[in-house]
Amino acid sequence: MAIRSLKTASISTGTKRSKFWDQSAQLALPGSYYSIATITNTSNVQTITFNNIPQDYQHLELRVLGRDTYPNTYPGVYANFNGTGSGTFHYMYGGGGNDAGGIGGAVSSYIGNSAGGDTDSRNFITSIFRIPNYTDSTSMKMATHWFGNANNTYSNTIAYWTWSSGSTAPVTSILLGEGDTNLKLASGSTYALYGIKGS
Amino acid sequence: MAAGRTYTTISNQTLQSNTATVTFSGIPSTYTDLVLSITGYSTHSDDGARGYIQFNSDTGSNTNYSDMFLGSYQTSKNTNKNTGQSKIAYGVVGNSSTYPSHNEIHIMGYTDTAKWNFTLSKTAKYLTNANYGNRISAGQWRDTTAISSITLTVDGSYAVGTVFSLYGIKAA
Repeated sequence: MAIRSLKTASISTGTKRSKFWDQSAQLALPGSYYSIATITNTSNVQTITFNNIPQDYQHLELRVLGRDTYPNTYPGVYANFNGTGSGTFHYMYGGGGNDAGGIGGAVSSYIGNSAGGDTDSRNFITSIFRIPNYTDSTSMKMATHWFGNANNTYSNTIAYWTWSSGSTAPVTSILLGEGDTNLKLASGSTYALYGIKGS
Repeated sequence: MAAGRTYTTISNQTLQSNTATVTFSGIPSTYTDLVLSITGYSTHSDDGARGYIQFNSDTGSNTNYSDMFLGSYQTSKNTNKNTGQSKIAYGVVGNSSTYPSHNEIHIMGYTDTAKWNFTLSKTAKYLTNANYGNRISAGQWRDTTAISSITLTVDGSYAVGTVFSLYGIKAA
């Protein structure tokens, strides 16, 4: 592919200037990142589950373009590891506009928000979950969830979320879903699971 | 579950002089998501100089872009949304050569024509002048066209030495 600059200068493929950190070192991802599986909803479903997750990686990352049938703008998403739904969450969020944002937490498996069914059908929320050290059997398993949606018509949300499952068991399955049986994860939502090598 | 290695470097470039606009064109459609990493600073006089992203040369004759953010400003949190925009503000670039900022922009589902196009980004930035610091941002281009080019601008110009890295991630 081509990269070009306009107006004032050109970009070369030369070496990096020493005043900046090396980009690949900062990200530490290219070359150590593996696609494990992807779920795409072809209909509205109550939950999605990744089972038999290989124990070959250091960390997991779940990348989501999500949508929900909830008849309001931002429905909640719940999680469990290994079929156990409990835990504790903490978050900080911003709503933009008149919403000043906030912080909070509770004992629950609530792990964040999706895009609601009352918005345009082309509107999805972008979410990135990370599950560090998921094979370690000595520490509480947790997930971070970074998500946002800058919908142009309805209320908005952006947040950084942390959820602890309350269990030290290595993670072999991940479930995301709706706690309310009347609600669904909408057709067209995609959930892509990746493994990240530690070395 | 069979796993495939991914997260491929598409382009990695360093500015050799101050540059107002940077464009990635001819982006391959073979990936699921794109990740853009930008480390550097702006020539702008304001520590709060923001960076902007546009797609497919849709450079502002309409108002199809919107964005919102949550971040720190001085000792407080700061959040806002901007609708009806001509570009997405992906984060704060700042103007400190001593403490360059780092912005990581995820462009997810960029070839999925059933969905609008979305960005999710985060800024890592030292609080120079005790003003703008870290930030998470979300953007939306209300267009379902697959993305084949990315145009980046900033308040002022991107300073010499700013590094742009574009990666592709392919889902199984």
